[in-house]
Amino acid sequence: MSTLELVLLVLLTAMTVLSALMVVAVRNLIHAGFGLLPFFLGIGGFYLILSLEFLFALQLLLYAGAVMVVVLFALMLTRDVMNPHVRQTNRLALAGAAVSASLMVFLLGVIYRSLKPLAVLPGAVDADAITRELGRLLLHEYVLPFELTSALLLSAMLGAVFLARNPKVELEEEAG
Amino acid sequence: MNLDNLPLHFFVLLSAVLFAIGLYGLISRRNAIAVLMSIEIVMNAANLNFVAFWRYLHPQSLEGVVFVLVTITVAAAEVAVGMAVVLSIYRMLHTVNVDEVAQMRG
Repeated sequence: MSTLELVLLVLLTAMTVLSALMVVAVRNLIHAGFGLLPFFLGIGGFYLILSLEFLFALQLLLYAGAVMVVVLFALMLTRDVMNPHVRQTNRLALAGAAVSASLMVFLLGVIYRSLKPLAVLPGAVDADAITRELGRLLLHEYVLPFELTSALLLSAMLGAVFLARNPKVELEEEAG
Repeated sequence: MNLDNLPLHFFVLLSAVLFAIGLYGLISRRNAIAVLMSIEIVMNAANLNFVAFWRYLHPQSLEGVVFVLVTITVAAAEVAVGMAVVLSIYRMLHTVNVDEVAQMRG
């Protein structure tokens, strides 16, 4: 690992962790929503390190694109009920901090003790071959989950439209 | 990038840290949209774990990546439905704080 790579890795890790902290801890929720963007990009950067260009593109399109837009839309549509000067945590905040901190310490301890030290990436992989094999897998071995996912997406879309429509407006339109 | 001697520990530890951060947000946030954002952090931590274990332990078979693809799709569906529910609650009760929505409490 050269010095430049080390510096880049440290920067990427710091960006990911700090933006995740920003999402969960910042009081102004619009700022918290924008914190999701560097977080998703950072995770995508780790996919690139693990030579998954296809997953990086998906991460950009779906998370940094679609999910970000939906979250920001929802935040802006409900902005009048969120006061950035009011505390944004409930009474479980201290207990939650204690629980997640102890879980983190526990996980770090377990991982540190039990994982065998795998010091090196096992050989370089061909990113094009991975994408090709992924397409083949999705249409052969995993065609059932793949098609179920499309059914899930369709029902989620219909459900979202049904839930988010405004019944009052429709009644007024029918009456008028 | 070519980080040849980066250990698997790094990714697993990072994803444990991100999971804990997301869990904290999940427990402590009042705003339902912020709770959904914390869920996204937790899911991304899990995805990173899947991909890291695939790359280090089973680079020949792509099951881990297929898992991540399905997870990303499910997360997108979850966000869409979740935001629709939040907007519907906002329209009915004029609040998005999860501790004020107690209509189903017995």
